[in-house]
Amino acid sequence: MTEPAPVCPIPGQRTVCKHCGLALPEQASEFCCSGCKAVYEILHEYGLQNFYRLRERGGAWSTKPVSASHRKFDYLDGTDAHAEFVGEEGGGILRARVFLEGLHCSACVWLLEQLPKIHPGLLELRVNFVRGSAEIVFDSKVTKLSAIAARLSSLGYTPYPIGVNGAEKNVPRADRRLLTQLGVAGFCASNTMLLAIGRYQGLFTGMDSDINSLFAWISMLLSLPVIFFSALPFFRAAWSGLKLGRLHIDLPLSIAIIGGFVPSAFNTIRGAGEIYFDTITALVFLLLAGRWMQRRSLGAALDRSAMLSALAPRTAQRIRGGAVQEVLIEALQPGDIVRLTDGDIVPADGLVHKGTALIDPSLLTGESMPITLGERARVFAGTRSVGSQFELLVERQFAQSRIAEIVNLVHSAAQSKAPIVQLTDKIGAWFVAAVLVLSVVTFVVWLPAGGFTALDRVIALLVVTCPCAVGIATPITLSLAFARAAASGILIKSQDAIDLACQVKSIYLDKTGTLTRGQMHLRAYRVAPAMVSDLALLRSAVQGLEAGSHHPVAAALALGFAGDIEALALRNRTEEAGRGVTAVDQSGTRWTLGSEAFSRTSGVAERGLFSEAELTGQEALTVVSLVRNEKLAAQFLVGDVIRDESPEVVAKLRRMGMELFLVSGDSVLPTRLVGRQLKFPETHVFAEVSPEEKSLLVSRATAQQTTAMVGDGINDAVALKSASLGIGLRGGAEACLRVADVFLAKADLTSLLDFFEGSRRTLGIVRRGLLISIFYNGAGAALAVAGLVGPLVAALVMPISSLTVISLAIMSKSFNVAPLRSNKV
Amino acid sequence: MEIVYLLVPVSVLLALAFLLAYIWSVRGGQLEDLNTPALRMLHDDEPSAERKAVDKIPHR
Repeated sequence: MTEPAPVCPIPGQRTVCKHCGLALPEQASEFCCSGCKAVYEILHEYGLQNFYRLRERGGAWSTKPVSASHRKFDYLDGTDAHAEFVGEEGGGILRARVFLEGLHCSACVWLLEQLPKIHPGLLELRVNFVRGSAEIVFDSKVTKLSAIAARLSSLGYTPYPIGVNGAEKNVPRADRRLLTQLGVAGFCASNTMLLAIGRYQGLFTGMDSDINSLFAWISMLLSLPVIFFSALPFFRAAWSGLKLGRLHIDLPLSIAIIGGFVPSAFNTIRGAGEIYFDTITALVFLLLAGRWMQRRSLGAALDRSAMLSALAPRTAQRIRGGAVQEVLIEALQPGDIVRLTDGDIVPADGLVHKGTALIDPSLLTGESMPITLGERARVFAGTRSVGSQFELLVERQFAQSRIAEIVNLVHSAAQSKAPIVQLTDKIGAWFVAAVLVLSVVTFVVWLPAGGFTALDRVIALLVVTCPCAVGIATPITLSLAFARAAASGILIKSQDAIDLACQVKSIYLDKTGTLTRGQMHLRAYRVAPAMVSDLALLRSAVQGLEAGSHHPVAAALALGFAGDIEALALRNRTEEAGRGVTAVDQSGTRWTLGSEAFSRTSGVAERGLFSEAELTGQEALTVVSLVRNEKLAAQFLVGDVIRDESPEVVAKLRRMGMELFLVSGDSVLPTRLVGRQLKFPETHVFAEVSPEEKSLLVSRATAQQTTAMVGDGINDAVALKSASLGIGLRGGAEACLRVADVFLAKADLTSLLDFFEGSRRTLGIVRRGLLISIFYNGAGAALAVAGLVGPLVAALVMPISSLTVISLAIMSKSFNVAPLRSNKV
Repeated sequence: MEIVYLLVPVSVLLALAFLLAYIWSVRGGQLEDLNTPALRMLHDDEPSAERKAVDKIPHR
């Protein structure tokens, strides 16, 4: 087996990493990083070099560099984790599903599916490339789930276990049932149609009456599975609608199916009259195919949101007896000590035990400024540790924490939500009434010609007026819209979302992270007049001072002020979490960067560089000072900024006729500032709102009109559920994306506008399809009442009308597809 | 035309066999992932020991 040549070979010198194929950094000769080297060695140790050959053949020559993962997987072997992630197959054989990060080409599939050969006890591993998941079957007597997870991780595929006992568990079973129903309907419909063609030809050329009746009997037998198995979903939905006193769209469909079948069966047995088995079986098949498409496209959106929530951390690092252990968040007990590092989400309510915590509370409360907490200060679950390392003493279990309280509120809000009347249900009701009235009229009109003739006319009417456009074209239009929306990063999780989006009258917008970026940015700076000539030095000093810091303000300064300048070499760097940083450069100059209070402690007496007048109205911003040898060198104004696209999106939404409200948990000043910049009237701005108040505000409005709530944090989750339509934004909290009806996967507010515009276009297409079908049905009904519709005409009209509306639905553009990312296969 | 009495039921039974095969494949979960198998079939198995031995014989 030969090794693939590097992509751009320079004689005698390797320029790309042997594993990932990316350009090598200087001084490296073979691999770009130790992770890639490790994977390369593992592959060679087990004779799996074929990976590289397959990857080249697949056209993908580069792999993502392996990021060395330090995650520990011990927690996967606990009983809690087993209850959550592992299914029993009997005899100690267990089954689990994981999402895999880093799947990119067919070579990955090959490599992963070779693992059972080299990992004892791993019986089977099957990759689902599209979902990015794998199903693992292993022998618990020989190996452990944690060992398999560690193996996957060592090859550069970080596994995220998927809960097997949640709502997702029954999805495959329901899918398989629908597929079987679809297959049976297809089989029966095609065979019945074959027989029907023979009978229609017999109409013109003459046919032996025995053969005719044989064909009718076989057709009837073939229709039985369709009526008693394939069409069950329609009957069930129609029946449960009736029990609630509502006319569901499946009711006219059920009436057409049963109304076509029963008299046809009766006619077959009595050996006279017309039969419609071919039409009704074909109808059921087409309807099921439409449902299947819709389900698949919704399923794709659900899958992706399930994956995003699986990526959220579910473990914490518990310190017990001096050793650090990775445990499930649910397993934490009061009194446990948990270590938190930069970027971790606090897993339980508790107190700061050791160290100083810098906490970003924006996900929980909407406050935009990080807060510094000393020892014994209270920390809430769901907030995020930024730029600090501390130990947390757990006070309350996760289940009793503030965040769990909010999650429970979300559940009760979901149950109390009033059911909405869908567009298709409204049409369904109208349809049922019209068809029933027409049937009675037809029967009465034809009664003088004899009871059987009158009945035949009524059957013809029922079959020919079947609302195909509603039954088939609408689901296809919607499923295409869901798929197109998903392709441009708008994940629609609820069927009614598009319908609702067109009725929305008022939109409640969260501030932090939704209208604003939710991150600190440099807004303005001023350099002391005496130091303007040293600007480059100041920039490089800031770069050096902020180099090791994860504080959001540090990132803002590094990005906005220092840029790509080289860092000044510094020593004796000391950082006080949340206050500032001090260091000395090679010439002995002492640099300090931090809050005004911090710079005062380092001996600065001068007043600030910004005048009082300039700072008025900017109270929402933080002033950061750079001090050079006790002299104020520069001052920076740092704060959360409004997203670039927000003003335009807000203006366009208003032009679409929607009333916009700003609701934020943040304090009054920054909220008003954003409100003023985006031209919200004072009465439409609500600040310092708790999650419960937010929800109350929204649900009060929802009682009067259709509302939408847009948010990204845990503090928005309840309100998302109280609103008619909850829209979650990427970059926020897991709880938020679980409850949102629509999830915007791009952290870009333009998606919100795209969603509303696309929904309106989609509904337009649905309406057009309905209009065309009303025309067809009207014409069909007229012919049926006139007695001109026989089985042949019914068999022709039905597919023609369906084909017109379906092809119109497929050709119309609902959502603009802007590719989110290209999948290299 | 009496042959129709035999041929139609036979053809329906034949079609029924295909339907059963389809139901079997649905139950086995074959239709859940329609993309990965297409990638999987491109992967060759390792040549067997005999094949390797045959390959080693020089051509005349």
